[in-house]
Amino acid sequence: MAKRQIVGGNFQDSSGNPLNGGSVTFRLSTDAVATSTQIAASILTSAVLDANGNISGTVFIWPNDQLNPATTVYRITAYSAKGQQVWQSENVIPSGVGSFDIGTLIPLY
Amino acid sequence: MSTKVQLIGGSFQDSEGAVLANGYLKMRLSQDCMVNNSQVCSGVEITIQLDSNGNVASTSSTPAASNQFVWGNDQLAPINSFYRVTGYKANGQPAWGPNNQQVIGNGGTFDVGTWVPNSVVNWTPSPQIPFVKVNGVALSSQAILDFENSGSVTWVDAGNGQVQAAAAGGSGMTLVAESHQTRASSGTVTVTPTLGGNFSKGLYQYFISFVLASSGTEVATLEYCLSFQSYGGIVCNQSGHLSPPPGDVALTNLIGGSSFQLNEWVGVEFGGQGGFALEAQPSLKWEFFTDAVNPLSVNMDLWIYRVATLP
Repeated sequence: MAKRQIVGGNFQDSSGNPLNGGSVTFRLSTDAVATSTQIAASILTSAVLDANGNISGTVFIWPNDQLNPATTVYRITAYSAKGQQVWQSENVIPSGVGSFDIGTLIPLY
Repeated sequence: MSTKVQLIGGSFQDSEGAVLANGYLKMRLSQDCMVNNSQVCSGVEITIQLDSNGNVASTSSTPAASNQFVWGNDQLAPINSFYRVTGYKANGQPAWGPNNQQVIGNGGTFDVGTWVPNSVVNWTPSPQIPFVKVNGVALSSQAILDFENSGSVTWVDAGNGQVQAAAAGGSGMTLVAESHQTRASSGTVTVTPTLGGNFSKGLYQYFISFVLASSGTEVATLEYCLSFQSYGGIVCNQSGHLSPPPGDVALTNLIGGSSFQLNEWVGVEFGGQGGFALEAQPSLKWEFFTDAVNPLSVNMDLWIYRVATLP
């Protein structure tokens, strides 16, 4: 049981312009427990996007397959540098070796 | 790896032919998408500049401008995305659309002049759920189609989406092949069932099916099927004679036999006339005779089936 680092994303617009200085938030769909650790869904996990639209800094979240109930998802929202919501999806973050590139997610929303 | 597509062309104009000189297009993706492990944000509306001729501005425009690129919808996931496109005059007046349009391509150029307004052509329909009926009546469940074995039909998943049915004999009967022999001979043909040396004793029905084919001129292909019951022995009627005339075939057994004409479809049932002890290796003999003029050769493919259980 371990949290997983979230990286990448390469957020951009339809012309390929990166979401420079934007941000992305992760909200768990419902409160959950990981072994004996209670995870509060109401608290967002946030990350800033760098000049390439990738997550900057170190961000860890709990993979959904380690949580109980087993049906949780993350609502992931991206914002422009001006705070405009520009991208949103609900996805499962899986467990695995190393970090997880959220650029591989197919938006489902 | 996908590559963005350069937009060109369009020649946007009004009904009198006056071009939307130095106007622009606003394009908004229909949904968030992913390409090349990158998230494409539909929330950001992009602007595509038009040149003095109403075409998408590019390095070949006068004056020259930067080439303008967008992601082709066929490169984005999930599928079926499109752009909501609105064309504006230079003074900001909406003039064209909004229309749903798609950009198709991986690299290269895309001429927006090929757009048919509000026509989305690259569309993958969602899976169509069939409506299942049985004998014209809707199946009780449209969510599950389950092939269940019955007393007379057995279903097998043969893989690759194939379902195979095996039908057993009707009325609870099962045909068991007791013997299969092939004989090619001239003149007398003797067939001796050798499966275990015995027919199964008991109240069974036997079906004998054989096909005769001959190169002779007197004998033609004949299919003959007869059945008889074994009450501990082979029982046949005794109306036949052992030495049929030329052109006839005699079926002989331990008691006697029955003759029948060739070139006929003959079905004879041997009723029970009594019985006798079943020999260890009962033999069935077919005798073929020619008229001594025309050559005769017989090929026989003999099957003997036992009905496992009587109805």
